[in-house]
Amino acid sequence: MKLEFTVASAFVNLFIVLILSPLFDGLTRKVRALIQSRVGPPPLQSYYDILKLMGKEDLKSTINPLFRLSPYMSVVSIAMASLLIPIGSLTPPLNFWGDIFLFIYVITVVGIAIIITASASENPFAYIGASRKMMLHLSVEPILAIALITGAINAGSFKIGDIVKWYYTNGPNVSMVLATVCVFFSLQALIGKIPFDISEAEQELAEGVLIELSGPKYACVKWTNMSRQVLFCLVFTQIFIPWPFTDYFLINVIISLLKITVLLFISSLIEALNPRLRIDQALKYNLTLALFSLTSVFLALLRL
Amino acid sequence: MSLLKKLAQKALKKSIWIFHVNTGACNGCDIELLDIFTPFYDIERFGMKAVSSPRHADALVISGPVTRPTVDFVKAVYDATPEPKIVIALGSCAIAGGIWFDSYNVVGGVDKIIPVNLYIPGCPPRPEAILFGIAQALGISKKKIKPIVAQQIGT
Repeated sequence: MKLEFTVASAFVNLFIVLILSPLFDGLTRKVRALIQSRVGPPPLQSYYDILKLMGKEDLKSTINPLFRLSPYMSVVSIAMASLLIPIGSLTPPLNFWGDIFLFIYVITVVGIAIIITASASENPFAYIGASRKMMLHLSVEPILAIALITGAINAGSFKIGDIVKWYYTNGPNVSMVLATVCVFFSLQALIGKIPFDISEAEQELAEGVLIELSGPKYACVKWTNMSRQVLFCLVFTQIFIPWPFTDYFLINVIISLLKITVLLFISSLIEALNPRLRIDQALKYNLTLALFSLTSVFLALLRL
Repeated sequence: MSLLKKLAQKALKKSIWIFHVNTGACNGCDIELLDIFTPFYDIERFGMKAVSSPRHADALVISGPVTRPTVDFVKAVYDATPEPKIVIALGSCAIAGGIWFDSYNVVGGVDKIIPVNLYIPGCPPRPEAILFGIAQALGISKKKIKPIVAQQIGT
């Protein structure tokens, strides 16, 4: 029973995060096109893009082995991180003491892999993109980490499953509401959408960190970006707003898919209606949010 | 592996990414090319989009007569594009030099430097012509030209 549950829920998590993510990306592209009064690409367009890139020639622009390996590392770490999120039931597929730290570590590796690729690619645009991405990551990852630690202090456990269970049964208190709001405001920076796509900035940096990638490597990084979008939406909807949970596995999965769709719709509205921030503005925004989320830790220590 | 290649071949027709190269054009063709990304023509419904690096591109759209200083850059851009790729010569100048065909610092058409798959004539070509040309090259729309017979020429 336990093993069966692990295998089934792991399969569902991987399916949603890896296989369904291009569909959600197609949805956001369609929403953006409708706002700009265009027809927009077909919903399956992102699948075509990835398949096409898989079949293209893989140009070796540098002999650095890091450049060759790190795009694949980013896909693997996204898959690893997806196994630590509860979707079908209140416990995630992999549930062990301290998985919250592993989760924070693994989602950081996703960004680090792209930074390594860019730094190894010997292109001035990629260098600028990499340094911007590093600054953005250093300022935005603490918000999510602190919010998760707030949950851990409240629940008295370092398991993601226990945090979600505690949150689901006890309801929100002041500290968790503050942490949830902070994560919601940093979501756009976590998934790298337009007010915060400073490292890829097509108009000024010519896709910055991704400029030298071609063929299967570029497909992997594209796929990672789409999956990361779904993964962070899942983190928000399943850990920080876990409410409509039923006893049935399939109904829970469908509810979580609906929640991601709504969240991605809001996120693509923000993306279509906002300009890109400068790096210093983004850092100021993120550090303010980090201060607020630090407050939530103190509130949690005071049992509020 | 061969299945993935076949799928990639099919997907290629549905997602062509364009990299625009200006080899000394007067910006007429460039503005007409930008028109096809506007909401009115909206080329993204065919899955096409403009990319900012030749490493990501499937199609190189070259506008302008190839001037002598840009010859090396055109060759470099061609080598930097991964296979399979198509090269599109946009406008009269890119096809054969246009009004600068005999100029001292112009090499000539793009096909003197790199192989060209598709010519879109016009000075500048209309956005509809660009859309139609790319669609023909991908096999989205059928060729509408009849084979020339002696009666039509009127000999």
